[in-house]
Amino acid sequence: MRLNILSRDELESLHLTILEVFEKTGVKVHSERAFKTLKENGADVDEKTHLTKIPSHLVEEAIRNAPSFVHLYGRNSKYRLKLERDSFYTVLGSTVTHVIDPETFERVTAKKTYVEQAARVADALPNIHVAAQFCLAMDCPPENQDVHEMEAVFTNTIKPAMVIAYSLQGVKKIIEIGKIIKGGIERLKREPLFFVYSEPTSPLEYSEKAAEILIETAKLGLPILSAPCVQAGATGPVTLAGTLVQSFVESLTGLIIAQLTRKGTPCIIGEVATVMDMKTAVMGYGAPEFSVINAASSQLAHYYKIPFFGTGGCSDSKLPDAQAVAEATMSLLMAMLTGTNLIHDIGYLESATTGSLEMVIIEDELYSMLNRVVKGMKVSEETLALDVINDVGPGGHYLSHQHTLKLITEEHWFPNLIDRSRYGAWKAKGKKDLLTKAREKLHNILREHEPEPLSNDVLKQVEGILESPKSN
Amino acid sequence: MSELEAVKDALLGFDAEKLAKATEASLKKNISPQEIMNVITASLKLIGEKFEKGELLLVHLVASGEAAKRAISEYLEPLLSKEGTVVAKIGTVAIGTVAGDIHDIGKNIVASMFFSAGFKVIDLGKDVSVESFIKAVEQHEPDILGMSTLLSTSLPIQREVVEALNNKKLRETVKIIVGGAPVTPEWAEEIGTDGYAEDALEAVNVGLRLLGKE
Ligand code: B1M
Repeated sequence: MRLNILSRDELESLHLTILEVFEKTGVKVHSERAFKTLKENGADVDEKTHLTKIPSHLVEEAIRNAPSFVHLYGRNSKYRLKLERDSFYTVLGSTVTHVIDPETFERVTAKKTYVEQAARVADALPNIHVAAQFCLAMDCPPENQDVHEMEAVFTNTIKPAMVIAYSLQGVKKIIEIGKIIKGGIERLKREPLFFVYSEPTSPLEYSEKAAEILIETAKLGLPILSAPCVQAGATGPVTLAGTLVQSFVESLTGLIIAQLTRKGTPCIIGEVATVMDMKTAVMGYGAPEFSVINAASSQLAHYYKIPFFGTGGCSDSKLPDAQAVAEATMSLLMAMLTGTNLIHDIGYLESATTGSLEMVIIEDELYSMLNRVVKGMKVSEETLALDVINDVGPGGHYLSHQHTLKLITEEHWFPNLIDRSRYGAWKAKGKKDLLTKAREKLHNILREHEPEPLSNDVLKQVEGILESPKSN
Repeated sequence: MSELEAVKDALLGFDAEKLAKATEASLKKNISPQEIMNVITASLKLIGEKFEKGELLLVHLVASGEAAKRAISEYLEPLLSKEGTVVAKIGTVAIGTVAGDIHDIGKNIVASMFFSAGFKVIDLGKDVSVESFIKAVEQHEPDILGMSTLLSTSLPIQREVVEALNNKKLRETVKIIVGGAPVTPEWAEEIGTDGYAEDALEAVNVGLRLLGKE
């Protein structure tokens, strides 16, 4: 089942407006390298302010040059995610300052242990497809924090990951780790273990750091994601369409720089675009508007044939409570229905400042459930069941029919955490609610799940990167 | 509607254009700049109260603040300074987002609220170095120095600014407020600041309290 919320005509209007913003308003690009590349390729630039107006032919050419698919791989080639067309995969939340401690359930400051735990949880759960930092390793030296975080991720899961680096230095070291795990740059390029996230600044700026991280990654031909965080009404127009337009200009600026740096660089475009709640000044991660912008953006990215990175499974609640599950379900379903190739920030609470592993467990189940919704209804001679209905006839039952036995697991979804038992049975098992069961499962995973270890040799080399001096 | 009523009406309608015109019209009628100022200040206060009660939104607060700023700087301040009067302000706030950090919308909102509450605001921008904070204190002699950071990795800069102020013997001249997502009251205390605020409204209240003007 696939949801399209825009008409072809509306897509065209969005696209044409995006091109006009590029030509008329432009983007301030604060990196010398990126600025120079854009200038040399025909952008109209202001040397003083670094305002760069990009002609539409350059924009459209870059969109054409970017591959229409990006494939991500786990440590081994068997684990492959094909970001293309309507495929959708979940990505763990990334860089929060606080987590809900799995033992005490108190909100505490993030540290490296939680990064490791989260990677193990992602490794164990079938419906968390891409790992990420989950939270910040705030107990590690700030100048090397990103490297510590990614080391904790890569050593605790075989799954591919999203990389957020805080400096050029950091991204270089993280790429080194990728090379060591994959056995060299060629293999890493062929089977990318990660994509690197570069964030433009809304409205319409590309910071030096974000551009440099992007160029460094693109230069090597590794997948790059360019996605801003726009807040409608504050850092973007109040309207959802206007915010989408601005967000695409920002995201595509990254894609253009990447394509000009190295034609054919695998690019993912995307955004975290929602409203600013005008009563609290909080960026609404559980807002319904978030899902609408995401849906439209996913459709526009499909129109461009570029993999899309969107958002789902997040909440503004402070706890993994009913509000959190309601908001996460809404955005996950919308993202899945609209073929959002990467749905990120699974487990985010409190407007992207707290992470909850209980939520990650619950969302693994939600994904499974919603996947059944997205699968929709198969209509064929076999499923229409004309002969079966005729066979059973009035007053009979279907329980033992061969047709039932054959198709039951294909047609029906079976919950794991969600409870459908009768009252007595539920009571006998301790009257557990969803959160209690999620916590039990979380504890089980943390106790029992051992991710496939890296070889000692690889571990030693990775360790070496961690300890290498800053100027490396 | 009298000219002064038109000033109030324009501000409560969040209309910068109308406010400029009403201010101009009032001056033409020989209403004193200070009198107009008083109406603007009272209207901003009213808007602030309505926001606090949830009757108005952040956009109204920021829009009225910016409208007032324009009317004051274009029409009233030049006249008042000619008269030798300084526009009466509750105090001066110098505020910036610390080095390494480019998250500035929160800081902008805090700055805007301080302005609406009657403070003179010096916005130092984002990615502000320790030296620039110190220079701002030396140059503008603010009553309050505000440091915002959204990045845990930039938290140490807040501490460095406090230490640098100590070293320069400037610490006692200014009250320091810190805020932003990773900042906590404990951190604010540990590094030796005077106050922490979780949001913009609280920031202004802390500022008023620190200056004894609650
Ligand atoms: C002086 O006294 C005071 C008193 C009160 C004060 C105060 C000062 N300052 C603020 N307050 C308080 O009052 C304000 C109004 O009520 C409030 O201000 P806030 O700023 O909190 O509130 C704003 C009005 C709305 N909130 C926001 O605008 C921030 C929202 C989040 C999602 C956010 C955004 C938008 C952005 N980001 Co960034 N970003 C996040 C943020 C998560 C979050 N919810 O905080 C956070 C802070 N970012 C983070 C990260 C990781 C990053 N970001 C980055 C970049 C960006 C954007 C450029 C995309 C964008 C900011 C630019 C823009 N134009 O908006 C990068 C770093 C860039 C840099 N060097 O600064 C990057 C590293 C990501 C990357 N891929 O590179 C995380 C924290 C990392 C950390 N180390 O602590 C993060 C928590 C999100 C996350 N979970 O990943 C209060 O805090």
